[in-house]
Amino acid sequence: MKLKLSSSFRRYCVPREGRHPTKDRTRILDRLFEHRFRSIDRSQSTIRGVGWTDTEGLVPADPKRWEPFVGSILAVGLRIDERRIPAGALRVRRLESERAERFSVKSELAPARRRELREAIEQDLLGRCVPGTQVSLFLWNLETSEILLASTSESANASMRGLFRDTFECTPQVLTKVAIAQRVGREEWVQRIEAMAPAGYV
Amino acid sequence: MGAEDRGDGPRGLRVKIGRIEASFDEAAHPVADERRSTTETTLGREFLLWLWYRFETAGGVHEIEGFGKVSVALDSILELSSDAEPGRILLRGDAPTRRPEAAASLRSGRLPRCARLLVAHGPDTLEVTLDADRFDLCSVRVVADAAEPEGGERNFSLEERCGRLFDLSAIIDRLFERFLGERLGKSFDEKLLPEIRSWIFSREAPARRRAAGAS
Repeated sequence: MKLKLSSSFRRYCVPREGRHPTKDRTRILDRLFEHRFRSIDRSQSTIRGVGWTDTEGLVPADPKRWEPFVGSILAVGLRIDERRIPAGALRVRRLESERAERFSVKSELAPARRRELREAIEQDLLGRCVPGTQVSLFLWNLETSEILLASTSESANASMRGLFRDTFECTPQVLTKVAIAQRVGREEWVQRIEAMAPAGYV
Repeated sequence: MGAEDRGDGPRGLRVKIGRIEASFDEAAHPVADERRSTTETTLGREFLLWLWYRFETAGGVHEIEGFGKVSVALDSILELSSDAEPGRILLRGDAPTRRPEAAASLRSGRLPRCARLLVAHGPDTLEVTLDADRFDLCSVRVVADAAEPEGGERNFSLEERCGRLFDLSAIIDRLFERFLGERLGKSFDEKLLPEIRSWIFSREAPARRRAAGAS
């Protein structure tokens, strides 16, 4: 029988050097709540909002009732809300606006004025856009200091790193091949990897 | 404009004011550095080649500390590329490793850049498409050999999902550690490299025969 589970993950580890985030669950919860997702629906000038939620993307009302731990694993959602102007909307409105102004002033528009018009339209459209919402599962194994983010999008990953840094004052490190060699405690391997040449298999 | 609008709060906001766009949530991006590192890129591809070689010559069974016997097979997706050769070869469908194109690509110096792996561990089979360049775990799927509960398909609990995901991640790390041990070992140039080279050229012949038989 097949059981469903299909997602893509980028892997991280919390570096051993430097500031290491707390493993105290109460403090983790407090910090998550402090950096919880805040809606941008009513703030028209805010284009993007990033914050922690539960795994469904909902913002917990009370940190005391929030239970994001599954054994030694912290399982929360990374919610990103972002306003985007629909494709083509800006261009056509800009052309309309330029045409109307040309008609009224009866001359060609200066580049600076065109830019002003464009910016004003952009601001207006962004303010009227409903933000798109993206929720990615974020798993942090507190025992192994490993993190899995259920998104391979560069933008979502950059947002997660920034939010994690703001929340825990530490930037998680992408688990690259060299980072894995470091994690398994083979420092001499790291030097040899950096010095090695690709093998000629043919 | 308030503090939130300027984005100087701790919540990671990006604000666009006119033509100026400011980001406050973008951390330094180590993946970009990795992309520049040819050695790291090649190492990931060599790792997939090693898994492929072990799969075809030793059944893909690996004894992994903490997990016991884990078998790794290459499944329905195989992408091969080379920095020296233009273009990428993408093979999809049943047994892509047995296709003549796969053999020809290996022989032309291409290495696997991406492969669908079946990782069998205990009663579970974990499916993952491993991106050799970034080491992302893509399209992860778990097929469990569990008895079907009454009423149809059972869903994994979050705890089960988390456990299996971190298991998969740890298995990939251990396999990579084992590969590194062999790749960086003293006997690589004298033993493993000639063996893999010989395997690449020996598998060309049956593939050609199969292709000739099919036509």
